[in-house]
Amino acid sequence: MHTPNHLLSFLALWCLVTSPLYAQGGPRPTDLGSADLPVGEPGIAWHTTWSSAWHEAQRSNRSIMFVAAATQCGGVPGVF
Amino acid sequence: MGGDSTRQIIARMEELSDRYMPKETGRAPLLQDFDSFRQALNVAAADQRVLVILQGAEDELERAKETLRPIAWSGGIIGRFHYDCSPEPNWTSTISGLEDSPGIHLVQPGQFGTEGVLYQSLPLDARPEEIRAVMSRANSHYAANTEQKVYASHVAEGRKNGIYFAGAVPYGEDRDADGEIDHRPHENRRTPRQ
Repeated sequence: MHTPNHLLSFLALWCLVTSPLYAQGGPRPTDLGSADLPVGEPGIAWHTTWSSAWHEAQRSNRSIMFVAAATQCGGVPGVF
Repeated sequence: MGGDSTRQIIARMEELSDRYMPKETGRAPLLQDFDSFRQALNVAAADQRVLVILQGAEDELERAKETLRPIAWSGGIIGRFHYDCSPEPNWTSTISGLEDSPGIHLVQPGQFGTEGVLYQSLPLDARPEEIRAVMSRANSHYAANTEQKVYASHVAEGRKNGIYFAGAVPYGEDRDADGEIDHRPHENRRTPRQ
């Protein structure tokens, strides 16, 4: 996995939110194509609960990169 | 995102990370987990990754988590899977091919993350080499048999088929600040349009 050096100093925490992106002026669902990353290739290894991210940040003394995302679009799941 | 914005973000991240000196603990980071199996399956579908589920009695589970920890963060495995430990009761009802029993279960998420298919189960005390090998095979199999998701058509198909994920918080925003969620841009306007 080719991880930029600046990301190695951070711990990636990703949090689920419910507001669709387009409600905040983001892209409409019809504007979205596919992810750049092919299926099976490595992406970011997110911590997916605050608890594990917090404990890991304390354990390794790294700051947290907090990202909020929704895994649904208009209630349709299985999509970012 | 423009090049200038990206550079600014990276510069800011470097500035922040310089304030901390990462500790060399000699151990792999903690294993990731989710708050619920339902959420884990949804995320695995969205990211198009195989979901690794650990189920069992607490002591066995802790040992399995320790075994899995260095594997999860190692080359060839990192960033390719999601993990959920101790799924809630009845989680197996949405996974075909799975018996409700202790083990390390590798699940391929369905398109909408509302169901899945078991790839393989391993005992909680499986050897690390065996776990790694099965995980690698699961990832290859899933990648070879899964079409890259096109988000626009995914959402359109979901709407057409009435697929709906009820979240813990109602969808939408309170745009007019009346304390109620407005599900559509012009819903609940205080002053009707003339």
